[in-house]
This record gives sequence, C-alpha cells and structure tokens, in this order.
Amino acid sequence: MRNFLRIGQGTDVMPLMAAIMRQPDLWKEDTYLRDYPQGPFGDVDSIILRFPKKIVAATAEQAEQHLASIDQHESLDTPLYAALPEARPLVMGLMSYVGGTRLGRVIINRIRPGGRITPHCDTPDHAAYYERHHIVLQSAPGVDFRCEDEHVYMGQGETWWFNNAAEHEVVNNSASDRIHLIVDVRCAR
Amino acid sequence: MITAHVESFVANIEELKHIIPLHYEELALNKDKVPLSPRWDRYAYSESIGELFFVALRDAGELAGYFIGFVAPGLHYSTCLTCIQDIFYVKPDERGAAAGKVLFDFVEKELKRRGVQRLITNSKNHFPAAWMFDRRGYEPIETIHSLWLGD
Repeated sequence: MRNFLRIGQGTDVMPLMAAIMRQPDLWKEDTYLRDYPQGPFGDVDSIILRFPKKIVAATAEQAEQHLASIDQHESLDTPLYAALPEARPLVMGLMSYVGGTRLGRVIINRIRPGGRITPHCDTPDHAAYYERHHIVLQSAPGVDFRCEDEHVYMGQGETWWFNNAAEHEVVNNSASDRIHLIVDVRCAR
Repeated sequence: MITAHVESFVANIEELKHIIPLHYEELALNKDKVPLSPRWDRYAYSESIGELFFVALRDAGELAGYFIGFVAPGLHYSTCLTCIQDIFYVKPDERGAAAGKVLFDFVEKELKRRGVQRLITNSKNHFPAAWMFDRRGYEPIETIHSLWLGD
C-alpha cells in the first residue's frame, strides 16, 4: 500500500460515539460540506470541530484575494468542539503520536448506508501542507475506501493515514452509518 | 448496490457458515458420500501466511457472494505469481444484476495491482460459468477428471 497506512488500532472511541448519539442535532448545525456546490459530499453529514474561518465571496476573484490575504492553513475550534470534549483526547493523542506541530481541520463525517463520497482529490495546497488521518468511530463490512487503485476497509477503533492528494472515494455499501473522525496534522518532516 | 471488497477470511467465517451450505447444496457432487466439512483452520493458516485471497461481495452489508483463491509463485513456475481459484459463488437471489461481473472485475483488478501474473479459474460442468470466462477473455486450458474410488 502506498496511499494508506494503518497507524493504530484498539482506540476506545465509545465515549465520543456515545456523546454524538446523545446529541443528534449536532449533525444539523453546519451543512457547509454537504451543500458545497458540485462537491463530493452530498451524502455526508458533518460535525465540524475545527475549520478555517469561512467567508462568502461574491466572485472567484474575491475568493482568491481573500485566500491571498490570510493564512489558509489556520483552523479554529468551532463551538461544536465544546459540545464534544470526548473528541479532544483522541485528537491530541494522535497529534502526540505522529509528532504533530500544527493542528488543522477536525471533522466528524457520517455517510449513510448506500451513500458515497464521489471521486475527488483534496485541494493540492492543503493536502501538501497537512497529513490526513482518519479515526474510525463506526464502520461495518461493505464500506470501501479507495485511493487510486488501492482499497481498504477501516475498522472501528483503527487510525489510518492516507494520501488525500490522490484521487479517492468512499462507498458505504453496509447497513450502518460510516462515521469517521478526520484530523489534519502538520508533521515535522 | 453490489460491491466487492478484499476482506479477512477469518473475520467472515461466521457469515460464510450461512452461505457455504447454499453453495454446497447447489453445486457439490457426490453429496451422499462427501459431506460439507470445510477445514476452516487450513484456510486460516493460509491467510496467516499471506496466501489466501478473499473477496467478499456485499449488498447493503450482507454477504452476497465471494471469491476465494490462493496466491503464490507457481509450483513449477517460480517466476510466475499465480492465483488459483478455490471457489466462487453468488447467492441465487443476487444473480441477474451483474454481480459476477462486479466480482471478477474487482478480483482481476486487485490481483493485477498485487503483481499476480496468472489467474486460474474453474467452473463445474454441471453448472458452467465458462460463458462468463469466455466473455472476459479467459482461455480454456485444462480439463479436470474425477473418479470415485470407494468408501
């Protein structure tokens, strides 16, 4: 495997899963990714815990000017992070384990049974700066994660690095929601 | 939706115990003399040494079929990484929706990615799948004969 690496297993994700189950309205708080125009996340619900400050630009030119004027890699905690303190030890544990020097986006994604994330590559600048990690909160056989020509099944409690600069897609052909905690970490290289 | 996945054989043994009897009933010969009795431990051993190739076909999470093969350099051809099919099966209620195509599209692509050079498959004369292999460009290369030698 060149695009996937399982870097941990046996993580106790149940405190976070239980907290998510107790607060189902969190999935409705921020639909930025799901509603992104022509984006690959139409079947995905998200709980965005850390993300760059979002702006609404009227034109592509304005968006480019905005990006040029800020540090686009700077992510901030959202109010939802405070509602899920159980996520923080998982995130900071991963930061420590991989020798992280900066924490980027932290997002919990849920793909419904039968849903998919359509093939795409992540933004090159972002993928080059941060390393993408997945901590699996819930999954079941039938979920397929493809990156280029490689396929993996990521089981509950496992932590994976993967190459999000390459084309990837996810198909959830299981009977359960597929829920992952996604953590971007800048690593010392 | 039918999808194919490389999965752990051992992790699927309990599910396989529900499907393999269907496979046996439909396709096995000499059932009065040869009862179904898989050597699960032998499969598990093959998986532990990296020889077993198990692809699960799934429909909404349920096991809908499978391909099991053994991958190793050929016994007579050490330079040729070969996959020899053990068995494959698609549940009767999953047929007719290109499930076999999904299975073998995935099997061939994944084996090629792993550097396997030759895939050897087979099908029963009394329930032939040769039409599918012909369509996919396979060549018939060998005939297997069986003789019952006694109880």
